Amino acid sequence: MTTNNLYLDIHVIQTVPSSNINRDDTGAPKTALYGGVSRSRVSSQSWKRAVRQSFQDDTVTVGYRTKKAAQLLKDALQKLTPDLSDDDAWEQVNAVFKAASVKLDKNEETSALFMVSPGQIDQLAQYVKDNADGELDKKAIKAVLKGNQSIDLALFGRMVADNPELNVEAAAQVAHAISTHEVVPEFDYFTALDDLQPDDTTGAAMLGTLEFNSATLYRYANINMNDLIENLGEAAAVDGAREFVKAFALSMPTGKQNTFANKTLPSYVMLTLRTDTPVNLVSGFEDPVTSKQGYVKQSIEKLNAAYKQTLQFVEKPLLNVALGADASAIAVPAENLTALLGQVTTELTKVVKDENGND
Amino acid sequence: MKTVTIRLTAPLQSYGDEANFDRRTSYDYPSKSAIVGLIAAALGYRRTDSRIQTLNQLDYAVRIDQPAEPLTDFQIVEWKRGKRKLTYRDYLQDAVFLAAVGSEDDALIDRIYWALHHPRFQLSLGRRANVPAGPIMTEIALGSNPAQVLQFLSWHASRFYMKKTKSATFVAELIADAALLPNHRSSMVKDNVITFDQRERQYGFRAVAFDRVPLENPYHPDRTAETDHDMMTFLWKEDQR
Repeated sequence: MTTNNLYLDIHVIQTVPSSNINRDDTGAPKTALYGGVSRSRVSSQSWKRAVRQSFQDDTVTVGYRTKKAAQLLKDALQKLTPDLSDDDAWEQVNAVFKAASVKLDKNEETSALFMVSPGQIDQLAQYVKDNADGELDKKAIKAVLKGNQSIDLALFGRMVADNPELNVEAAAQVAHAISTHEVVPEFDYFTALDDLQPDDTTGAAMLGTLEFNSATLYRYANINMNDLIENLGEAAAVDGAREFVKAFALSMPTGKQNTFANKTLPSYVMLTLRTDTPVNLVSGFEDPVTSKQGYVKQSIEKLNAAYKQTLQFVEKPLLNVALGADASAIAVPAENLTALLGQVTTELTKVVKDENGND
Repeated sequence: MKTVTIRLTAPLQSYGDEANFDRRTSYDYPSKSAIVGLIAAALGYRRTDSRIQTLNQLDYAVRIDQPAEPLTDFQIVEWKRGKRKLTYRDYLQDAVFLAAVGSEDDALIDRIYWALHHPRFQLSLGRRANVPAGPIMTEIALGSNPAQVLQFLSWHASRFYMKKTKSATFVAELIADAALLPNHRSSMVKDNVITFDQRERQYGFRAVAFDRVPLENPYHPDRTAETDHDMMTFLWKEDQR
């Protein structure tokens, strides 16, 4: 173990106006207690889904998270060999899944969601075509299912209960976003009129309440670059890190988006490249921000203060760049998101190359 | 005996006990398996690594410095369009625990200490999304086992919690390997790691014992300079004139 750790920390301060992007089972926005007060919360799984969708919109190839992986393989197989009959195709697909020790039920579906990248499906189909007459090699199939990972598979991992050998450990860690300040739930009482209501009738046809809040969120994620390199290879890992930062910064869960049109952009993004440990700066908000003039400015100040304080306990990072007002207070300021991503990519490429030189 | 204490805090933590897919529950303090897992991750042991089992031999104790508020989170798992399943996960909110592991093997404790500050894999408090708040805070003690160390370490709760606590002493619960607390109430828990291997994740039973530790509240008025606010004293002084 001579390889140094290499972690990329991503910190985002973002204000979300009246909204309900992540609901609990009663339809209320999710919350958490921190520092003794109630905070708005957006779960990590919710934001990870938003990131995956953002990859898709950005035409970054993402994997399928599906029970119908067998169907995907069958389609790919028939595309490669157009004269293959349905029955023969299914037979070959079943043999592949059997060799991979992944069970298919009577509807040819996996019992749980199976994450598979398009590259893996294509490779599997090619492998089956090339070995149509011979035996299927378990090891080769496993290698295909571990290789050629899509970026979301490499970042968020895969769990295959049937065959843990196919598991992929996630390279990214995403914390639940919480507000930097206390939130009190707000209720919107609404009435709706019926367009076809007769003139002699008064009153609403429907009424109800909707719970919402508005919050300045602290969002945190990190990437274990060594794990990402292990999953994707060096060059793709650096690209993957950049795509993740971009998607994490710009995406937002779509819950109640049509009701509230709450699509905002971050006010502050700080990226830190560390060789010792990732650091979540949420502790800077344990004492909640209180303000009569909005929360953004003070949240950024508190984040910067928390960052400075951590330098007493952790090693000096390789790089600390930030985007947004007050960025220059503690970090190298970037002009725009592209510049920010550029700086991180340059540094990452350099470090990854240096690591190689040491081998 | 060398002991390292680790302050565990985050908005959310969870320490799963026996649970099913639909509802994942939590102990109200960090189980030994959680700390064994945390240390294994720091040291870079993968799930199937046999060295994980030797970590069970570490002496273990944990003190509840700031008890959690429970939260049940609700999550929808959608495996294809329109097909959904609801699952519930329990979390511990806003808690602070002081976990301590000790060993006669001083070099092992030193390695663990270093690894916690240079973790090979990301650390999390029970679930991947439960990222520790701030850098991990650790302390090293020589010559004492984890239960002894946690008897004399000061109160590590958050400032707001200490301020909110109106009494001069806070009585923290201490849970330790039964062998470390002889003559105390004990019971069995199922958190002895046999393997984290996802093919056959297994835990065995082990005995734990319970104690209570009184901790001084540094924010209690009795301990600050201004101690004189007994109204009657004032009246009595008036009388003397």
